[in-house]
This record gives sequence, C-alpha cells and structure tokens, in this order.
Amino acid sequence: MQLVLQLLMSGILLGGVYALAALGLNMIFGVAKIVNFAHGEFLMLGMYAGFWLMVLTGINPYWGSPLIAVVFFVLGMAFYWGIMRFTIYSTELTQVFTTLGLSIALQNLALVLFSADYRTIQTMPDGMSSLQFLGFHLSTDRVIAFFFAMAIFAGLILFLKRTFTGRAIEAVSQDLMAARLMGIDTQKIFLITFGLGISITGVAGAVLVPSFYAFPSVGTFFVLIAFVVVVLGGLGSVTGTVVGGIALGLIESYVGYFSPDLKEATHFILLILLLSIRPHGLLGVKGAEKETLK
Amino acid sequence: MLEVENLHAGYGDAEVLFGIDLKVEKGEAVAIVGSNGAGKTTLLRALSGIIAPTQGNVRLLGEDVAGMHTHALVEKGIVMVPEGRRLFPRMSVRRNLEIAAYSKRARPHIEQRLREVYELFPILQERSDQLGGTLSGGQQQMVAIARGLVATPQILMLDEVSLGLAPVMVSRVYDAIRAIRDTGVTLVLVEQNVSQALSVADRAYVVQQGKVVLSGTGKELKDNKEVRRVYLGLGPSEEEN
Amino acid sequence: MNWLSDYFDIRRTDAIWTVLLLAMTLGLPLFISNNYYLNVLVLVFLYAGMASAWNILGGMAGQFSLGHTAFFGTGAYTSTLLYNYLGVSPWLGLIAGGIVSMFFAVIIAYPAFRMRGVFFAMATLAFGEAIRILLIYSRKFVDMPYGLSINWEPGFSRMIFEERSSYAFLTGGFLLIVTLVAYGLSRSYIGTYLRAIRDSEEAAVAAGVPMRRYKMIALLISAFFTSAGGTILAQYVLYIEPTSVFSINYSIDLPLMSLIGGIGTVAGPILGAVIALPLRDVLLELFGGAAAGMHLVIYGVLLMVIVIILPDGLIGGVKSLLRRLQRGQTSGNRTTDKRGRK
Repeated sequence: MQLVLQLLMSGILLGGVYALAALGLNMIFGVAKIVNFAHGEFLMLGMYAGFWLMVLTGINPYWGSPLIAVVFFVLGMAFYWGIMRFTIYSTELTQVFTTLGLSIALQNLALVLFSADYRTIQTMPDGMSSLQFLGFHLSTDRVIAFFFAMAIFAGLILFLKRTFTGRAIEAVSQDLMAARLMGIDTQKIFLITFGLGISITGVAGAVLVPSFYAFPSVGTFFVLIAFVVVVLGGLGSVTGTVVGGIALGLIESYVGYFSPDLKEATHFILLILLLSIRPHGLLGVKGAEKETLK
Repeated sequence: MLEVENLHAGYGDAEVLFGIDLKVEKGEAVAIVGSNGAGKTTLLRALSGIIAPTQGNVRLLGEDVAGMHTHALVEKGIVMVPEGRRLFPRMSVRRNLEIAAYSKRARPHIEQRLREVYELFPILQERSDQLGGTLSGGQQQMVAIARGLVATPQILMLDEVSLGLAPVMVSRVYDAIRAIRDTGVTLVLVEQNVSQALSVADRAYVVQQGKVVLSGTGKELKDNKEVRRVYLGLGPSEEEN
Repeated sequence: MNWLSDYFDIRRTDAIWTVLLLAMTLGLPLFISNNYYLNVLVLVFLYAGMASAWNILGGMAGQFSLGHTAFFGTGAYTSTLLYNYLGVSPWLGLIAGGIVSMFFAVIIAYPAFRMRGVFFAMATLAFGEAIRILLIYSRKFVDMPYGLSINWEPGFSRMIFEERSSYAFLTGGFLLIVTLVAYGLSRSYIGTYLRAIRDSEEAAVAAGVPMRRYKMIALLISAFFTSAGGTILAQYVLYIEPTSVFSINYSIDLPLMSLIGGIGTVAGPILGAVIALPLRDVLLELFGGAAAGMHLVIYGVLLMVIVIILPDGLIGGVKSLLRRLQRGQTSGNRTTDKRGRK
C-alpha cells in the first residue's frame, strides 16, 4: 500500500511536469492548427537557458523564470513572424517539414554551441534535495516544478477566460473567419499565441533542468511525451493537457516500476492506441483532430 | 455612404467579380439578389476584407477602404454577418455576443448594445448560457445578427440570413431585420430569397455572373418582368401570396 | 504502343526522363571507378528507390508516413537473421523481409488509416519508434547480439560483391524496378484513384473509390520496396544494429527527398535524392570543419526555406515557372495567396 501511494505521488508530480512540457504545444496547435515538431527543441533551449542562467549568474531557474518567460515570449513571436507566418495557410506537409527543419537546425545549433555534454544543476542545498511528506520521499525540484505547472495553468485559464485578448484567442481557435469578422486582428493573435506557447515551453524547460539532464537531443524525448499528453488529454483543451499529463505520469510511474525497459514503448503504444480509438482524447472536442485552419 | 466602383475579386486564379458598381446611402436597406454562384457572397467578402479585391475602388464616406484588413474595416464600422452563421460553437451565447464588442469602436458601448439586442431578441437572454453549437438554425441566426449589431456598425451586411431556415423562422428573422432598419442602421442584404429581400429593401441590385445586371427600387424590381419570371416564378400580372 | 496506351496514360516527356534514368543507372556505374563517388552513387540510387517507394504512399496517395524506418529496419533484420542463422540467400531474404514488413504494415494500417494528415504522421512516427524499442526489448527473451555482422564472402547468391560498381548496379536496378512500378501505378487507373484519395477523401468515397483497399495497396507496395532497400543496405554495409537501421533519419529523409524533388510525381523523389544526399556531403565538407553539427544547422535552415518557397518541390517550381512564362503578362503579376489576399 505504501508502495502504491508512493508511486501515485511521484506519478502525479511527474505528470505535472509532463503537462507543463506539453502546454505550449497544445496552445499553438489549438489556435494555429499547427503541430510544432520543433517543440522539443524549444524545451531544450529552455533547459539550457535555465542551466546557463544558474552557471553564469547563480540565479536558479525558479527565481529566474520571469526573465526566461520574457525572453522566450519574444523568441516565440520571432518564430511566428520569421517562419511560421509563411506556412499558416500551407499544406500540413509543408508545416510539418518546416518545423522539422527548424528542429534539425536547433538541435545541431545546440550541439555546436553547447557540445553534447549532459548538463544539470543543483538548486537545493545538500540534504534538501528531497522532502519527506507523510512518510513519502519526494524530489524537491519536482515538487516545485509541479507547483509551477499548476500556477502557469491557472494563470493561463484565467487569461483565456477573463480577458478580451484571451477570449479572442479562444475565438480564433474555434472559427478563424468569424473571429476576423468580430474585428479581431488574427495576425496579432497568432503572434501572442506563439509568444505565449513558446514562453511557457521555455519556462517549462528551465524548471525541468534540475531534475532532467539537458543535452542537444533531449527534445526528441520530450516532444513525443508532449504529443502523447496532448492527444491523451484532448487536442486544444488546456485543462485536458493537465489531465493528460497527470494521467501519463501515473501510467509511467506504475509501468516503470514493473518493467523499466518498456517505459519508453508505452508512450508510443499509448499514442497509437489513442489516435486510433479516441483521437480527441479525454477532454478534447470530437473532430478536433480533423480541423484545419478555415 | 458606401460607394463601390468597378470591383473585381476572386479566389487565386478564379475571378468571380468582373466590375461591380453599387452605392448605399445612409439609412438605406439595399438588397443584392441573384442566383447561386453569381458572386454575391464574394462581393460581401471583398467588402469586409475577407478577400482582397484585385481591381476597383470601395469608399466609405469618401474614404478609400478597398483591400483593408477585416479588423480595420470593423473598426470603421463595416460589419458582416457571414453566410452559415458561424457562431463560436464552444462559447455561450453571451460570450459570442460579448466577443463581438472586441473592437475599440464597439467596446465602450458593450452594455448598451447587449441591452438592445436582448430587447430585439428576448430568446437570447433566456439562452445566454447555452453553447453556440447547440442552438437551432433560427436561434443561431438571431445570435449572428445580434453579434453584428453589438459590433456597433455603420453599415451592417447580412449574407444569406434565410438560408436553411424554416419559413416561419425566416419571417421572424425578417421582422427583426425590419425593426433594425427602422432604427436607422444602414443595411446591405444578400439574399437568394428574393421576395423577402425586396419586401424589406429600399433599393436592390441584381447580380449575375459577377456583374450588376439590374438595379432599382424595391417596387420597380418587383414589377420588373425578368425579375418576376426568373426569381419569383410569377407571370406578368400574378400576385405573390 | 497502342494497347499500352489503352491502360496507361503515357506522355512524351516520359521518354526523356526514361532515357536520363537509364543512362544514370546503367551508364554511370560503368564509367565511374573512384570508390568515393561509387559510394555516393550506391547510396543515391538506394535512397532514390526508397524515396520513390515512400512517395507511392505519401505523395500519390497523400498519406504521409513518418514511420518508414520500421519497414527499412525490418527488411534489414529479416534478411540478415535468415542469412546468418539459417544460411538463406539474401535474395530470398529480401522477399521474406518484404513479407514481414507488409505484415507489420497491415497491423498499423487499421488504426493509422482512420487518421488524417498530421495525426497519421504522428501515429506512424510512433510506430517506427515502437518497433525499434520492441526489437531492443526482445533481446531479453531471444539471445541475439546488439549488432549483427555479416561475413564478407563475395558471391552473387549471397548478394555480396567485390566491386563497388556491382553494388551500384544492384541499387541502380532496384531504382529502375521501383520507378517502373511507381510509373505504372501513376499512369494507370490505380494512380487516378490514389490521387483522388489524396485530394479529397470524402469526394473519393462519394465517387465510389474503394478507399481503404487502395490505401492499403499503396501502403503494401511502399512497405515492400522500402524493406527491400533495407536488405540491400545490410548487404552493402555488412553490419546492422537497432539504432542504425531503425533510425528516425530514414523516416525523415525519404519524405524529405520526395518533397524537395516534387511530391507525388514519379521523377520527384529521384531528383530529391540526387540533390539531398550530395548536398549533405557538400555541406559537411564546407562547414563540418568549423564545428560538429554546423553543417546540419545550415541543412535544417535550407530545408525550411526550400519547403516554404517550393511547396511542390523542384518539379513543381519549374512547372509553375513555365506556366507563368507561357501566360506572359496577361493579367499582370498578381501575387494573391490562396485566400485572395496580397
């Protein structure tokens, strides 16, 4: 029983982290209907950002996250304005390969700039790296990352539901032409969405680097997880991403205990199963998987 | 108030409008009729910025607005209610209405506009929390028109509002349109349902294959032999029922 | 030619392409003796053939798969295992590998074909990775070394050759066969069905096209030939391991080459392979010295640029250039996009 609960707790914590990693992907997909295959690379860049911030200035990524959020927001806007803007009305194939090309470029850029060494940082003073909570061992960093995830998620929901800009984003994600007719400047919305999506992803990476190693191709590991989370939770649904993330965390926690080798395979098999049986995931909208930008 | 001169527009290589000329005066209700594929919807799309004209001029109160983006046109007061309603399916009726006040022009007046449309369409207030995608066709049309009004238009363009609606709903929608016209809003109606359109319009244009082929007051067109034969299915001296 | 043209839509320009192709595959290996260039030739022909095979499913039928490495690796492993442990000739192993690949294809088809576009791509991507992981995992139950080596004993029946030019003829022949198949499909009624499915599945179904059957046909042919490519590579390199033959790079390279050359066309994938492979090498020469991976940064950027500027690949770009020259200045230089906006 103790074991079951321990696995439960670490599963939830892991799930929160996964959800955070996937949130940006879901946002961009929900609004622009583009699957960003370079998503993992932005996460990777966030991890390096957190790493270098700590190494060069001593500020840990938790305190440094606002700065990282701003930098990555600008990066996200640049990503849209410089690249994705030209593919918004292109075929899916074009969009996939544009983001794949970026993925290749970014991975290798990281290789050139940072070398292939594995990097991580220690944020907690010795002895504080894990907490004791009701007799369970929890990694402090993962707990903090979990709270970051929840805070970002709550903030995002509030933004989307309570502000006019947030509602405009929702409108664009539901019907682009109608949104334009309401007087919404869709270019601006895309800029903001990409900015927000990449910003969240950057912070996610920064907050993850204390618990996961950063290296140039770490993105490929995370992007698949992000895909699974997004599909599991529901395409285009923010709440769904959190639910999906936690669900995946739990599944991985339990499967991983019994068979560590199969952990990776579960992601893929889960993805295939989901896409074939219930592509709109747990909370998504039926038919979301067939939507294209109208 | 609105002047359209020699307007050409299309989709990529396919030209649909070949030189449209029309005028709309302030406070008027102008109908644009014609059969399917004549270019009526394309015309509204070109006027509302959804597509850019390839040639020609559009002037609003003397100002050149051809080719401007939709959101800029909405700020100027050119508002279109699109064909097929296009409500936001996963937003409530209230949210659908509120988002229509997004523009700087409309936002200060949002409360007043909401009151006005609730008075015009009481059912919207009853169902204000219902999701847009779950409403019936007629109800959606009312929300769509209400959205157009919330955007505080100088000129409101309605694209095929009667499409797909049961006759009784069509009458109700047109009663509302009459009420809107009576408050002084300038209207442009694109319609396949010619008799309803002519009943509420001051003037009308008949569009065929991308060109204006006939224009006149509502009464003139209703008496016109061609219009009667082709669009109303009536002989020269029959009465409509 | 008459009875042929009853069933196949043969065009004049096809003759030009055919001559070029034959000259390339039969002529070049004869005249080139430098081993480095022969190696390039072997790989270009192999990739061109596999890209063509991918194109049958991804370009003609419009189902763009990002999981073709599964078939490639399956072909490599099946023929190598049969050869190493049972002494079966790789020629037969090639067929066997193709059958196993087709079997996997059928399994993935049922879930995957229910999805469209990006989701089909994601599912196939996951599939490719899953097969690799399952293979590695299977070593827990079956005693098999991580990497498999093939002994170098030249012999035609063993598909191992002394001269590199023989390998070039082998892969050249492979390319010719796949091209013939692709050409035949494309110009026949099957090609028409596939294009219908690609352009609009709903319309195709409404028009009575047995969609599932033809998607499956495209998939099976595509899988078989990709798998054959895997066998051939294994016989060339004489060493395989999971990360090399199930590498995601194959899944990306094959669609990529089809895209660069002109997706959906018969010549496109070949053109794409001819350009992409040497390009990578050239980039490596130019930039690889500066820092490891620099050439791939340039490669990635070039990729993005090409894909955005030439969505229909080189062939598409040339065709639209010709069209614009033909039309001349009739309606001015209208640069409206799909939505009619400038």
